[in-house]
Amino acid sequence: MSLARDLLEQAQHLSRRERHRPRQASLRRAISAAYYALFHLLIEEATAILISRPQLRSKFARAFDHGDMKLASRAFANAQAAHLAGGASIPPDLQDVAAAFVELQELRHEADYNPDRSFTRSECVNLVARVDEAFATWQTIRNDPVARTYLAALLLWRKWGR
Amino acid sequence: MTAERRAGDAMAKRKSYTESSEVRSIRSALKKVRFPKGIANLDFDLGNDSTGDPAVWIWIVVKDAAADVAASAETATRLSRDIRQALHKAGSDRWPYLSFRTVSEQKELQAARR
Repeated sequence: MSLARDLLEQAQHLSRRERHRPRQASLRRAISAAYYALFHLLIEEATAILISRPQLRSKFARAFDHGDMKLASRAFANAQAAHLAGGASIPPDLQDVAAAFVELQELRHEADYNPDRSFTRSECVNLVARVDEAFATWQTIRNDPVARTYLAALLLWRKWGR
Repeated sequence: MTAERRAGDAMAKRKSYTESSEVRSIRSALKKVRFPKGIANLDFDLGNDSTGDPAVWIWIVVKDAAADVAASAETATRLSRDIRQALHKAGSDRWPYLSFRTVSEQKELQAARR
């Protein structure tokens, strides 16, 4: 099983770890793991299509930047990256995956760094389920040329904007 | 009563205060979104997110009995898409962050804060 899948499974476990009165630590770690599950899924996919030598992929993966990935995802989610897709429209399913990435990244930041924020089980389960849904949606669009452009944009967005 | 009407009524119950034109614009945009059945309350806050981008945090409180559907991933994905489009049409570049809670969870949080 891939790291991305393992992290999603961990998030699902942590989101329901306590039957009653979930601990904030469990919910926070579940949200964080859910974000990193999607983060690693997209990086695994990007490196698989962009780097032909498998030995180089793990090194290449370290070049991805959370902030750049957010900017690219925001543009694709809002269908503002059609110029990169050769004028093709951004598939709605791809917009949904990109939007889930933006939202999970922000909630991951809240979960990891904002001690004043309280999370609820419903909120946490919803976020983890959104990542699960994004995994499933991704499988249906991963071979779409626009989805492949999105993967490249996750790494190159800022440079393409120069 | 339609789900839209219920969401609008829930928003109207919020305390009155002097609203900026942006708040009014966002409130108006949200009223055009089709919210699911089972919404008990809806509120929002404006600010910047962790990377400094303009954002709107939307707090959605759902009835406990309706949580399975009203707070599902499918609902959240559709709402996220619809709200982004509604904000865009309203001329707002704020990114919507959705947060779902049940009525009982909201009560527990409020009790814990006292």
